[in-house]
Amino acid sequence: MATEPIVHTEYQYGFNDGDVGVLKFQRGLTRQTVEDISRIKGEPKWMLDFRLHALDVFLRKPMPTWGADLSQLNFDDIIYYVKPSERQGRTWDEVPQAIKDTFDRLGIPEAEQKFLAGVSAQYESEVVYHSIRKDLEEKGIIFCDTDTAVREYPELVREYFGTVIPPEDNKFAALNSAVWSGGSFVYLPKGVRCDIPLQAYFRINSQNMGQFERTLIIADEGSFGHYVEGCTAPVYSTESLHSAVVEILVKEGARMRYTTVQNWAPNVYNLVTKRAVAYKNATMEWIDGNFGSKATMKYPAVYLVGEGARGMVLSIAVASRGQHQDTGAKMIHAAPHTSSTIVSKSISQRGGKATYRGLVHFAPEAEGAHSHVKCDTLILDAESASDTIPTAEVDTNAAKMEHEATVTKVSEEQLFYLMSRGLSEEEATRLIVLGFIEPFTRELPMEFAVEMNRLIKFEMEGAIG
Amino acid sequence: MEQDTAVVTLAAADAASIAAFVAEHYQGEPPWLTQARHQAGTLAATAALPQRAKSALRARRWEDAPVLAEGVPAVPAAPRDGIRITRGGYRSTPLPAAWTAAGVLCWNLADAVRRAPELVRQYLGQALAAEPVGDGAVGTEGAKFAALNAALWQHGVFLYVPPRVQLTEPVTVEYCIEDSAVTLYPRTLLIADRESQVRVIERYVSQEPEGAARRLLSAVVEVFAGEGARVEYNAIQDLGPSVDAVVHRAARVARDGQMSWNLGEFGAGVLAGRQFTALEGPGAEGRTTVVFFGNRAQQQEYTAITEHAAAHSQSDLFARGVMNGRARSAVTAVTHIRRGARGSHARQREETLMLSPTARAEAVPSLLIDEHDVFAAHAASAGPVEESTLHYLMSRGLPEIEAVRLVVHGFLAPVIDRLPQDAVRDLVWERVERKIRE
Repeated sequence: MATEPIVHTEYQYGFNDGDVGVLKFQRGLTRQTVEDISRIKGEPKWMLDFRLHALDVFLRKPMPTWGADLSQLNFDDIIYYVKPSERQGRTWDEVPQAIKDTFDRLGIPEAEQKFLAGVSAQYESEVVYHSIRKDLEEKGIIFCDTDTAVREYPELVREYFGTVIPPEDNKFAALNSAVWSGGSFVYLPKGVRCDIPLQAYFRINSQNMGQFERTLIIADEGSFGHYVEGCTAPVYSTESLHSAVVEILVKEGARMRYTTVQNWAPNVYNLVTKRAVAYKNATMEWIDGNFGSKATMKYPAVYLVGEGARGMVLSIAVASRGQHQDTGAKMIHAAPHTSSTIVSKSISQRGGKATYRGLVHFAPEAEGAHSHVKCDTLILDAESASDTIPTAEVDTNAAKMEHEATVTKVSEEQLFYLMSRGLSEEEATRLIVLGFIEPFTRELPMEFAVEMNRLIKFEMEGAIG
Repeated sequence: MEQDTAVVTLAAADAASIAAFVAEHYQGEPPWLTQARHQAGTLAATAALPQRAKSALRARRWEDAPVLAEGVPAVPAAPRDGIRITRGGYRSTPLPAAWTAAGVLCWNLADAVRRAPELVRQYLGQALAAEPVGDGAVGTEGAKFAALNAALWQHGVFLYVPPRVQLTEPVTVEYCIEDSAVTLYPRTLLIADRESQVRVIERYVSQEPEGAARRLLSAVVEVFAGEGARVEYNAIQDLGPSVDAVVHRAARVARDGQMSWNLGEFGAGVLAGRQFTALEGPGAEGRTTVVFFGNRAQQQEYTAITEHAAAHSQSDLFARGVMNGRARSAVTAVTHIRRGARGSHARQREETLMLSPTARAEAVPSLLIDEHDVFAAHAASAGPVEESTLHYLMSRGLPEIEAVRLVVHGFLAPVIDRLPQDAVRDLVWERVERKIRE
């Protein structure tokens, strides 16, 4: 049997290019911190009030008693706001060279040139570079960082901000609401199709720096869009915290897809609240890949509030040494004839732990609703572990729920078959692992599928002796 | 018959009142048992009430549940066959002579404390104690009631089967809450020694007088299956709506032992069942079959925890239930495969058929896997009767009630067919029929 890891998740982008932050806050969180953030950003009073209220909620809420071990997380040891450059880079030439070098290694400029509608790269806490193709602008699509949106589209932001995930939702949503900075704002007007993915990259760079981006996406009636986000972060010895909030509204007949592949450094706490509301005949799809981090707690949710709304979560999680991927999905069926699908693929290796934690809820109104959940886990070696904890709550007799899950090792039969065909054990195992996650990779946009393939291949080199 | 008087509720039962009750009503017992009762009494008084956020039991106000009841109840009438246990005592028909000759011990647990003190002391409480507390997805809601039973148990079955003795006939036990009683704390201790074989069939019933007061059953069943032993446990719970039933069942299974739980849960106003199976030896096997049927305002919660602590252990859980009226069910199954339990194999299936728009069901089928060389799978589903099926049956001339009956039969047949005892299958079908008509 294999004693070597099959999927290497050694952090590949573990370089850092010095501290380029121009303005850096002291560690810790007080009312003054929140007021300073808001003042520096020149925010309207309603946003300051929102932040201060959220701070109260954050201080009041207890830590979650379930999920990943957060006992090493010290809120007083985190810097809550870092501004890397005095103003936002408007053209590529204005972006500081150190930041450019990092992006070069991540392949962002090429990506922009080739496929992408716009690159909105968050470096530390501010979006430093952002562009959007002219034809999208002409369609009336808004794609900018959320700070800009607060200034330039105040009515839109104020109408929807915090409505899908109020600060009261959970402790980390409250924290994000108090100190958020950056993130993307997307507005798709009625009936507009955006055929090319909107893409943003996020990175954490400063040691002990929390990153609290806030993304708000509004897909108006009959629109279609695909938002893509990827994360990598340099390795540091002390803990970092990433706590994002992503709110999405999918109006009647609209369709929205949100794709994330994250590869956090192994010292990052990744505690993210992602939720979408799907109205009548709307479709919301979360495609969510989780690599790296010390502990991830992330459960993308869809509230199906309109008749005929559809929700999907398709996710993979790879947990390696010292990592706990506590991920899953939530589907709340609150209207008739809503349907949902959850497909979760987990791999744990080298002492990592992958947990699927999910909820499917049918309200009494969910007549004719249907949900299908499938969770599969591969445990690759004797040190690793996996939990599968799905919850189903059925408050109506007119809905149907099906759930299935398996936890297995790599099938010896399949290995023997492939090896009898002349493949080495390493090649055979890689093929089986790629087959296992294929339902996920096939849903990625081409740009990401390429990146993902590279990542998996890279990580599996020399896996078996 | 004398009525229970001076009832103390759960809210009022503090450590002092339980201690006083134990001191007054449990005299003449060996000091170790008295001490154990007092310890459990303190725990029962201080442990928290069930409060899991989504628990079906949360809606129930446990504070009012009767805990301590004075009064001298009548000794039960002799059963036709097997054993009958009430608050008043334990009555049994004589054991078959062949069993006695083989060294089988079957007594009231209260008598076994005197007659087989070493065995009782060695095993009593040791199966429940094996359950890891606060581990993973299951809370410890039931601990308060298990402690109440440990402090207050009165009568129950003590059954010891010597090595290689195989009992062909089942031991039948009836627990009855008579109309005069408000509490019942039975306790079963079942020890199947090496390569022995034993079957038990338990029935839980209550008399339901007009305007019956609220009553409490807190039962504990502990099973020890030795190496290569086979234990088949069957229980049909058919208590009346005035009874809140909290039942703890725990088994420890040694190398190549087999433990089979077979349960029909039909009655009680509130049922909180908790089952723990520790597969402690290589090749140990646990098999669970649960049929449940709730209607009216019944609340049923069943938690089954299986721990694979040894290589090549196997478990298989299959639960199917029907919810009608305003009934609520919550089925939680936790399979935990510990590191080192190589080659283990675990399956869970939980399925609920919802007959009424106001019924509620919750399913939490969890797999906690710390070992890679295993297979584990679960499946869960909940849904209504397919309307097209009903329309088809009704278009063939069946009245709706008959059509529903057929669908329920079809749904429950696979799980009821898994029950190993013909007699139990018949009893379960009979209750299913009655529930459909209710």
